[in-house]
Amino acid sequence: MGIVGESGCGKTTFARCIAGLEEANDGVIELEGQKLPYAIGKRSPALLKKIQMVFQNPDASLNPQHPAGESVGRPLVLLQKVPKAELHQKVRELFKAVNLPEDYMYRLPQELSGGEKQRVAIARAFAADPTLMICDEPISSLDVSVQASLMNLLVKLQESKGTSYLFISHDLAAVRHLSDWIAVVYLGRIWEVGSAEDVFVPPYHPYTEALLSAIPIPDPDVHQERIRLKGSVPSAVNIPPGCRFHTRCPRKIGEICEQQEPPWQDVGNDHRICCHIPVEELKALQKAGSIQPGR
Amino acid sequence: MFNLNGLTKEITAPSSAEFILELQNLSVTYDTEKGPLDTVRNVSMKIAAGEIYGLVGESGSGKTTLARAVVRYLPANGRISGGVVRLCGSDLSKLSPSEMRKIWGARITMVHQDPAAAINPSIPVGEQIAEIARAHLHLSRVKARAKAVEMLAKVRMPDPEAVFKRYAHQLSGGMLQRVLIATALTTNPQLLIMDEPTTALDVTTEAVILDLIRELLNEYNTAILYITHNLGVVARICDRVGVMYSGELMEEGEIKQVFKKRLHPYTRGLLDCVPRINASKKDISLSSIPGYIPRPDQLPQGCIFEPRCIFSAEECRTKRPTLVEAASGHLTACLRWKELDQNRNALTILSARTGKKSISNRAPWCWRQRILRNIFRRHGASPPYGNAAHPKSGL
Repeated sequence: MGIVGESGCGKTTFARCIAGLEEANDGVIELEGQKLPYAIGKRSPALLKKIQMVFQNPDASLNPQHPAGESVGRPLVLLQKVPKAELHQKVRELFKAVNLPEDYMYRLPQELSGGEKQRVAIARAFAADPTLMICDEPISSLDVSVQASLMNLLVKLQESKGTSYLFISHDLAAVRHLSDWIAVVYLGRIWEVGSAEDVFVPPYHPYTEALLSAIPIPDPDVHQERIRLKGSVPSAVNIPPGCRFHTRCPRKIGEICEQQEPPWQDVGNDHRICCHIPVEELKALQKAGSIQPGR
Repeated sequence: MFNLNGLTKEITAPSSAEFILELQNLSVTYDTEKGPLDTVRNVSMKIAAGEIYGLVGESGSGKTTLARAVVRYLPANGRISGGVVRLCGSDLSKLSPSEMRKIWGARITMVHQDPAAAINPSIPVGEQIAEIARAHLHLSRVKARAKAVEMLAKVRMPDPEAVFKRYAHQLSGGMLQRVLIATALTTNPQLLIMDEPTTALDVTTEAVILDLIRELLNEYNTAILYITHNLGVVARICDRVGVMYSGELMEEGEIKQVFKKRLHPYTRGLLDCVPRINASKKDISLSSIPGYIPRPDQLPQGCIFEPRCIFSAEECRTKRPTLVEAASGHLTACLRWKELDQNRNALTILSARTGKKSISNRAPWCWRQRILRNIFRRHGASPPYGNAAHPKSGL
């Protein structure tokens, strides 16, 4: 599952609520049919083990005074109850799984590059053998070549371990590459959800459309419609009435957008859009504007 | 609709007199405890008026160092160790610091990556633009203020009079970047250097800023050196591009030439790393460039990209390639560029080292299947296999 949206739209808060790092006010979080308490303190170690997180900034998420191997080993000891004798062997296996040389176990985070640190963070998350991995912008601070190798690593680990990912990013191409399902978020709410193939072909929500037209595509032959959003995301303290997107929507149809909350519309194939404009109309409007592949 | 492509072509091929910035064999050296470190080596480039030159490469490839050498603003231990920097024909590397001060801000301006760090938080943003106008254009206080408001309006700032009085913390990242662009264009400079100006911004804001830069360029006819690691941004706004690796230029040419022909394996590697919006993990696996960028004091003997190159051959290990002109205006520093040119899709190039076919650009069978299915559909026949596309699913 991928989550995309601009900064300040609540992607990270959402992830932190699921991980229990922030307490939700209302609603239900269920993991494998089991209701989760909001606060991390009320979750049992068995539950904690199931949800692991990789953060955006590995400098802040790895203890600078612990060697990489120790950071990876901690969830093994605390959550997996691995005996001391086997610990070294297990850590070594994890390092191998994330394509790091074994002697990196003894290095401090400051002796590793950004991509290597992120690999250590991924190894640590997998150490607990989670069923759900939350990746909060794990690759956005890295170089393109390192990004590609990390994405390949995530795909490989998912295939071998069968873990579910919640992948949060503002990079639509990366989300498209990794996700089976995508949710588009704006101002704390989901506006479009569907399988990755469906979300990125028309009809889409006007916000998705704007996001897609804004991505810079490294191919001079690709023709992109120029849809630009005006202004910035309104503050979450002062949410606009009606459709939350109406203040910036390029396809606003009138007063209905300002007054009524838009309905969920089913496009089929579990692809849903939350907008006042009927699906057929969106389809007709957006046909010309879709991205035409260059190669 | 008039032909935009034809227009840019005319601009990008001017006579030599029109080049605003000319670098000839520029080298930059940092003096460190372990000895001199040649961070930029023998880089030559020319940028014409009204042209955006994109400089791309991984972090640590010397892009920013090059930009700082151009403006002679290197750290204390850095120096230009060879080559010439010419601005409109005059040699900048021979000027004294006081003469450089007349050029900074008036003829060369810069937009940095982090707008919040580049703006003084304790002075209203408009006042900072007015200060530039007073210092370099010698305007009176009243006129400088009017000029600042005019510049804020030029960068499509809503309500420029109000923004004039605001402080940096009262503006969003995108607005701050617009303020910086307004500041940089106040003196109508000949050269504008933009160092990752949109990296810190959201995609939607980035798109707006990129459109703005393009629009302003038509009005100001400035030469722009645009540094970024985002190849998509380069494809969108630049006229020409230089690909830098470990302090040297690997490939240079017009956007279409470089992105289509990709005559250097490093360019191919960078382009193949980027996930595409119309493909997912089921369709392609991303190819990444193995290994790391070498330190300037530990360069390999032959081609500097050889240890990470999937096309490397025996001669690459011993012979250092130089930039050769593959087509008019298209330079590449690869010994095997002719083979790369002939096999544009790289399927048939054998790597001398592994003996395996190159992994770049491979079309996996799911793609082929999809193409086949579409052909069948077009002819009204039912496809020979169903929608279960993925071989790994075992369906």
